[in-house]
Amino acid sequence: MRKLSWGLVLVLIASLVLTACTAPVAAPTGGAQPAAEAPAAGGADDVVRVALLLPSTINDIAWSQSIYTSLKELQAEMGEDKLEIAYSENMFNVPDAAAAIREYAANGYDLVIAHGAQYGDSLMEIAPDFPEVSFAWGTSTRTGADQGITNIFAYEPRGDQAGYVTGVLAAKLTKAKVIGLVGPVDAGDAKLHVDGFLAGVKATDPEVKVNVSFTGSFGDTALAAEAANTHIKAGADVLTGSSQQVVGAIGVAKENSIPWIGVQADQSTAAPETVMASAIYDWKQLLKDIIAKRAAGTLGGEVLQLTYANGGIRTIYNEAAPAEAVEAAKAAEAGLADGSIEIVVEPR
Amino acid sequence: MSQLPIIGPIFFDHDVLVYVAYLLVPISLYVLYRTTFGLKVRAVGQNPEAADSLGVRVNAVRYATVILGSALAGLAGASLSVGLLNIFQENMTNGLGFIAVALVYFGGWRPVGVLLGALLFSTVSAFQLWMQVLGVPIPSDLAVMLPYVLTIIVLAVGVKQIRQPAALTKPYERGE
Repeated sequence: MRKLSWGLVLVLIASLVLTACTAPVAAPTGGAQPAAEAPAAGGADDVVRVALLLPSTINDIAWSQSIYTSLKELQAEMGEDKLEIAYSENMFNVPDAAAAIREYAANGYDLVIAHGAQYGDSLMEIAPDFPEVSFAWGTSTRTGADQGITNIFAYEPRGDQAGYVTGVLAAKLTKAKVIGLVGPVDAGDAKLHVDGFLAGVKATDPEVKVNVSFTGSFGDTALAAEAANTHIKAGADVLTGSSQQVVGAIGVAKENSIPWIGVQADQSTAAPETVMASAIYDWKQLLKDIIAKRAAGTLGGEVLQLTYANGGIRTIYNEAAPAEAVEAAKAAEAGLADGSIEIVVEPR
Repeated sequence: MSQLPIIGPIFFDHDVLVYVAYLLVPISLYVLYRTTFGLKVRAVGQNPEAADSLGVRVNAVRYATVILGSALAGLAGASLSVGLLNIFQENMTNGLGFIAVALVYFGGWRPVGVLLGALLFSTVSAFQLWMQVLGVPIPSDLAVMLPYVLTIIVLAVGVKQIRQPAALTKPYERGE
């Protein structure tokens, strides 16, 4: 028996070590290479090293996937020898993320992006220790400039604009005049989205009722599915929602042949016939701007936004979506872009 | 039969695995309390020394139960992705497994108790979703708390004593 227990201990240790090896913090060694090994022609440093911290995974078809896709597109544009990317997934817990942020900053990364509102306080503590490194944090409008921090860029997708346009579309699509919204928590980016959505629906058809529910989590896929089921039973014939857990709700929408309207990333990959439109976050220009500002000597202290006006938000429509509804939504896009539409948020 | 009024959707409108879960309650009752294997399982959990002295291979039975339990847990996870959601996402259980463990304590290690606990938890969970969807004016943060708060209350008030197996988590080695 003793031998068996020792064998078990060994297996356990081995499995722990193996999981540790695949742990996300293990950054590619390229980032930590001394300058001497960098390409000789460009001098010490013409490579931009970007590290990305994600609360969920790069294929969550929502929040994390949107910025990862944009960063990859930017890399394809700039060239792999000019833009190095490292990323850490599933960093929902702040202490894990803080350790990873510090690790990246200490290992020669030029820009560390903390892609979640929860990372702010940690970032404010870490950033002053690495004055040469730029940090970016979203969703936020706080750069820490009031505390004398100069190397944090804050960014914010205007979720209310994405919500408004999808709200207009949803109001046109619903026949039962009931829409179900599966939200994560009633705060931050998600609240912005809900407020915009309600405003968009109201501006299009005041008779339409929007049932809003929150799961209290960003990753509770099963509860999101259950919420979608409840919405359908309560009479909703169009569903929408935000955050990475909505894949569960999309599955339910697909099963019940009910149209889904997505935000954040192109969600038609999950169910091409179900997803009528996705208001996607396109981070490429914002990332490009941050890198350009850094190159010009501004390490942080500015707030950047994704809007319809700057192309940071665009909507992809399903070909099967009714033309009249798409036209109304496109009019809303144009109105938001030129400022003729103002989003009126009513207290809930 | 799912077309029957009221009881139709309640009893006949679910995934096959839901009915398998219900069936598992009488099956595990039978196996645990009416078969030799069940007697051995309970014996090695309560008093492994006594079981050993009667010729039960304690560790073999324990490994068998771990494997069986893991298989059932795996089935539960698969039902979530294959049966309920038709999709796989990392961390999609969102800690549901811990709720399952809590339900075992809740049910006092008895199949029927676990069933009742699971029904209570999921009923309140469904209830809070309905409250939100129907626009009952309470903050969503409080609503999503309900099933957990209720579980804690029932555990603290209702369960007089935790009837866990006496030799739970204690390794057994002959002659010690």
